[in-house]
Parts: sequence; structure tokens; C-alpha cells
Amino acid sequence: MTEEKFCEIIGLYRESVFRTAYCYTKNSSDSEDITQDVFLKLYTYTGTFGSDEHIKAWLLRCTVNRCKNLVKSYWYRFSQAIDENTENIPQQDRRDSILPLIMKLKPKLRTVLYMYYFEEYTVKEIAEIIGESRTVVTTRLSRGRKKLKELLIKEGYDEL
Amino acid sequence: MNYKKIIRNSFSDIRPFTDNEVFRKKVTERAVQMENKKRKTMKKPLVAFCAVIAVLSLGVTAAAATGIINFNSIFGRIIRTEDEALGSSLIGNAENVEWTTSDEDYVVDFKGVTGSNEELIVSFEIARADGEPVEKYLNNKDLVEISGLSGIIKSITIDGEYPEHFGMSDHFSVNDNGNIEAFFTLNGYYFNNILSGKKITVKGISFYPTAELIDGKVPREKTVFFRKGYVEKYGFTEEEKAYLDSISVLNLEWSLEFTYSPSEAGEEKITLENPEEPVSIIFGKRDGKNASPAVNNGSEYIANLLSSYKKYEGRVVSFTADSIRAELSMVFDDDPKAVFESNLCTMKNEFTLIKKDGTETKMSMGTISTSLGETETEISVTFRYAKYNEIIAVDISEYEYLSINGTKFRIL
Repeated sequence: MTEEKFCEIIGLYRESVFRTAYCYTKNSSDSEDITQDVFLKLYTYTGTFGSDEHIKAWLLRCTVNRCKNLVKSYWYRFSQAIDENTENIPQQDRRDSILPLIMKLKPKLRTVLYMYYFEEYTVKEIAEIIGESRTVVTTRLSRGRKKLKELLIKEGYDEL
Repeated sequence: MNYKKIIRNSFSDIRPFTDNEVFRKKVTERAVQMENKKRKTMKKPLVAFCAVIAVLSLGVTAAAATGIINFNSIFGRIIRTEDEALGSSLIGNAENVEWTTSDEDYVVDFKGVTGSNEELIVSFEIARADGEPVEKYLNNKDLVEISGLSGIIKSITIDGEYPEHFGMSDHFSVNDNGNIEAFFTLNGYYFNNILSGKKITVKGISFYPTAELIDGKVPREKTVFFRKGYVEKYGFTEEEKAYLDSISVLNLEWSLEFTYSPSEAGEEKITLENPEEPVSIIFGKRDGKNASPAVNNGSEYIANLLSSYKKYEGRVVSFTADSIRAELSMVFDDDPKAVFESNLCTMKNEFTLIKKDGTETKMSMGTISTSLGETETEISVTFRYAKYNEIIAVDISEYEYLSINGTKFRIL
């Protein structure tokens, strides 16, 4: 991959990779590390891609795998208890942002919600990226929506 | 505004903090560093192989700072095979093994190391120099029997640096010889974590009954190893030190250091048929006196532990010719005291390799990654089983099945 193309890909997909990692880890530093790792992997990758969309799907699949490895590591689970409360993602003071509530969902649920609503992937595409069946993705979407609705009601959002 | 738009807008609040150009520079710099590192650590396999064979066949002794380790004595116990070359290809190599203890009555008996470029499992034993079982010298032996034995790892360094992006777990117990058996696992979870050729140094302080150690009087992060050598850097307060002294069953500082290189087999991935098929993982209370859930903290935790998991299903996540990793998913119930502490349980799980002719080879347990979790949260616990002792030298191609508690997987 040429330097120019690499810069272009960073511009196009870096935020998507970062957001996916953040959905999993809820931690900016870890997300930044993972994003760097994933792009480093791309930089040193010697295979070819059919299209930019293919690159994006590859990047997100790498991100999800990297996140899974990180989250299941013993150190990560242990250190989370210390780190997570110090995390500060800039929050917009807007009524149309419900990010704090979304982040209360389980990582698996919020990641699927992110890919579906923000990245606008289909259930089939999400299943391929996260390495799960379509049924699992559909279930997670459904659970995610349900949990989010419960949280919204609890927080006094009458209706969306 | 519709809910789809609101969700979409919400996610747009997540943004990286640095600009793309700074990010690109960082990535390309890391790529250059990685390339340089690869060049520096590149091995000459033939020379390394000859060196190992020379060491093994000549029985050269390696003088350690405070002890002398004979390589034949290390490997002789592990490789019981007529084919030495096969043996050395199946286990990892540890060179320049050195150890220290704060009390000359105790020795660190290094058993061996196995693993891959990204993960290693070390086995060693804390024994008495006079051959007496350590168990005889433990204070409060009964409580150890009830609640298990724990050690505090003070630090681990890789080439003298506190490791970033590595997970570790340890497991201490009193073995059949009455000595302290220890397993220690180190695994990198970033793809460029390389352990081959690295000097690994582990330091530990004293031993305690698990129940007392997790009682909460000393913060959890100080009693469990934390990255960057938490204990070594921050130490304990005077009050915590006094408490630890009061519950210690053996006051002993120890260290173990060696240069690691993985076996060829450790890099060889084995494929199983239907790896997603769930297996049952068995937890059990310790036998004997500890069956009583009565009086002490240990029993309280045991009782909570056994009632606090809703799922007991695991699956094999990784299997190389050297080791198996099985992962167990668990869900805590709402018991606020729920804490997973592997040392509080007996693991009666059987990981067995089965030959075509039906011959079975049991695998020894390595470490269990312990975990703290939130209530109603699914967590996973990783069990590592490794081939230690004589079975380490088996040729995996002879085996047809891996069996975990009766669930059989065909090795492809």
C-alpha cells in the first residue's frame, strides 16, 4: 500500500476503528492503542483488497478481534476496576446525545448497535465482522434496543 | 428527531483526540521500530539448536547467582524420552536460569517452561534445601488446607522493563510432596508482543492462606499482581505490612530469572473438530475439613463462590501441541461478595489426550486466570493446561482425540 493510500485510509476509517474499539473497551487510551495496532497491521499487510469497503470491513474485524483479546485478558479485567471511573470522553451537553446511556450497555450490545445504526451495516455484514451468526447479531440488536429503552425511561426520556 | 438519528448522533461524540497526521506518524514510527527489533532479535536456528544439544548432552552446569542448576536435572525430569531432539522441539527452552531466596533453607526448583512466541507457562517449586517438605514449616497449615495457598508476585520484568500489554496469572498450591508448586503464565495480547529471546524475571514475596489474603484488609490490587510491578513500585503501608506479617504462613522472598525461547511445537496450532462445542468445567470445594462452610472467611467465600455462577460451560479456545487453553464463560449473580478465586476451589477437570488405540495421557494443570467481575456480567475465565512431566515429550500426531471432562474433540 502506498503512503498516499495509507493516509487516505486513515482519513476515511480511523474514526470508525476508534469508535468500535471504544464501544468495546470504554477507554480512550486502550482504544487509541488498538487503533494504532490495527493500522500498523494494515501498514505491514502484504495482501490485497478488492475495494475500500473491503478494507474497512477488514479493519473493523481486526479491531473486534483485538478488543476481544484485550477484554479477556486477566490484566484488563483487573485493572478496569481502577481505570474506568477516570475515563472521560468529551460529552456534548445536548438532549440529542444519549451516549452515556449507550455506554451503560454491555460491550457486545453497544458494538452491534454502533455497527447497525452508525456504520449502517446489515445484520449479515455485522455477523461477518464480529464472527458470530446472524441470529446472535439479531438477538444482540434486540436486547440492546430493549435495554436502551429501559434506561431511557429510567432517565426520564419520555419518548424518542 | 427519530431514535435512529439520536443513536447515530450519540456515537459521533466518540472521537480520537489526536489528529490524523500525528496518528500516521506514530503508526509508521512503530512499523520502523518493529522492523528494527525483528532484525536485532533474529535468531540463527542452527546455532541455537546446536547450543541446546551441546548443553543437554554435556550436562554443562550453569552457575547461578545463588544456586547451581544442572541442565540435565532440569530437563531430565521433564523429558523422559529416548529421542532427545523430539523432546527439545516440544518444550520451550530456558537458559541462564537464576534464582534467589531470602532464606538459604529454601530453594527454587525450576521445572520447565513451555509455550509460544506470545505466551509462556513456567513451572517451578519452592522446596527446602534439606529435602524436608515445606508443608511442615508452614504456619497455620490447617487454614491453608481449607482455603488454599496464595503468593504475592511483587513484580515481573521482561528484559528489565515492566511489561506493557501482557496478561499474567499464577497459581500456587501445596503439592503431594508437601512443597509449594507454582505455575506462572505470561501472555501478550498485542500481535507484536514477542517473548522469544527475552529475559523474564519474576519476584515474589511470602505466602498466605487465600481466604485471609482476599479478606479485604489489604487492597486487592496489592495482593494480585498488577502490571508495571505495582507492588514493587508502590509497596504496602505500615498497617498493611503488619497485617500481611500476621497472616503469612511462610515469610520468603524469592526470584526466578531465565531467558526464554519457545519450542517449535508451541507455534504449531492444532485444529479441533467442532471447537465451539461446549464442555462442562467442574468446580469443587476442597475436600476434607474445608467441606464445612462454617467459620472462617475462606469458607464464606467458598460458599459464595459456588453459588455465584450461573453457567459452567466452557469451550476450547486454543490448542497447540504444547498447551491447551479452555475458556469458561460465567455469569455472576447478584451476590455482592461474589469473587472468583481459583485457589479456593479444586479443579477436578480432566484434560486427556487419547491415542487411536485408546491409550490415554492426562494433561497437567497449568494456571487459571482469575478474575473479578461485576454482578450480572458475563466474564470468562481461562484455564491453561500444559504437558508437563513425562507427557511433555509426546508426539501430538499420535493422538486422535482431546477429551475435556468426557467431551471428545477429534484432533484434525
